[in-house]
Amino acid sequence: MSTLALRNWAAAIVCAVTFGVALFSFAEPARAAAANPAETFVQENIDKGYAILNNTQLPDAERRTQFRNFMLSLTDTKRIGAFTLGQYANSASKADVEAFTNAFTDYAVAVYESRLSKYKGQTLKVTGSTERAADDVIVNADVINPNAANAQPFKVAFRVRKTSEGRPIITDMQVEGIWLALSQRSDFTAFLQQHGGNVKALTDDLKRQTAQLSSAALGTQKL
Amino acid sequence: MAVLAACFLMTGCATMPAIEGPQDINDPFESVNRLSFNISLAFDKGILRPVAIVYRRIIPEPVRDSVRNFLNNLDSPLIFANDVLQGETDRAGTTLIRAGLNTTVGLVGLFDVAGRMGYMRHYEDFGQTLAVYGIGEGPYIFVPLFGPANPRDILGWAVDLAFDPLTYAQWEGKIYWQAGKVSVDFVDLRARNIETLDDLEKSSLDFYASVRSLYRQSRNNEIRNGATEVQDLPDF
Repeated sequence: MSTLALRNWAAAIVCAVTFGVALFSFAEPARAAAANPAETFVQENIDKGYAILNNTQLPDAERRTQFRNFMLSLTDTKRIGAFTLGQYANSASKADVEAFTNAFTDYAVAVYESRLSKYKGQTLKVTGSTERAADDVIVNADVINPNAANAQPFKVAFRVRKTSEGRPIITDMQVEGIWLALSQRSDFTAFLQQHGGNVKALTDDLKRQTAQLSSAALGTQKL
Repeated sequence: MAVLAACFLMTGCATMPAIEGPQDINDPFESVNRLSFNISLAFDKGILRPVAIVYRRIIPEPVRDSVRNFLNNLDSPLIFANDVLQGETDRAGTTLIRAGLNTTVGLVGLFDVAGRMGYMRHYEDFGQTLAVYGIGEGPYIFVPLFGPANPRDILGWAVDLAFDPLTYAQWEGKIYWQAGKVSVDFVDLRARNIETLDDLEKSSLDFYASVRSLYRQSRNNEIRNGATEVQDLPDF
């Protein structure tokens, strides 16, 4: 019994690092002939991120800035932020939600940056997509680790929606069955539940967390 | 325990769909679960994690991989039975080929020869079979020292244990073998997740809630054998 229990447990947690690794595991040039616009969007942009990560000519600070801008242009952090507040988004003031969204954006970038060092040349290959609605496409991809050719590639998916201007944008990402925004919402709403729905408290805690992640990331960079 | 699980299972069965969306929290016993989580975390920080770190440091990687392969291979009868119960004939075939190759050419499972030939491992258990049959998961339960679960999975573990041929085989010193196997399995799995768990804890505001969410999503993913159920996603 224990063995199986532990296996489930491990399967559940094994994905956390892969969040970071996957986003940085950018890919070969798009070459699928009949890819739809959402698939092309994912493949091309992941290539761009890959190029930034691999550009070791750039000074570290510049590379980080570029990556941050790249990430922000690609993902709808505002929409994701509001979603992660769950039902608490309705009762909080507009200003509080906005402050939270800004803190959330910094936090998201810090989480990814703290995992930059885990990038080990993995590549991502779009394998197909499923349309949920006309402006809601799930693009599936495999992340291939060149250092372990025999290993099973792990599966990721991107949820591609459209901005109000009709530009495609990523609103969620899945790694081995785990949706990032869903997990984030679970984390945040649990915090809010324990703190009487105080979005300000959540924002403060996120800022503290972001500062910790950033200093830890800088420490790793120096090593 | 089993009776309790069966109770939850029946209520779960009556009121819940087969695979719930990952959105709802489904944790009516949260305060007890949190206590259990904290006890487990203290055990992990005090004993399991330090032991796992030492294990990873002193045992070379190829040896650790062979340990893992050997333990995985022992699960073959269980995976095969559940493949069959779920009507997954292709996957059952893969499990059979893997067990055959790895037990013989792979020297009692120490080497994953089949994986190198493209027969990749997958995992099944009776908890997943129950889900495929449409049984609801029931409420989230954090079992002290064992990790996240639900009544459906707990019943699944019990059934898998009852079906495992090794449960009935008798030999001298079996108790030591079992204790050793469980310990090594725990330590090896923990050693494979040191950074993963550390990172998860660092980036979580509420570690308990993060683990709960990851467990349920990952379990549903296993049940669907990795297929994405796009219509279950929340609108946002």
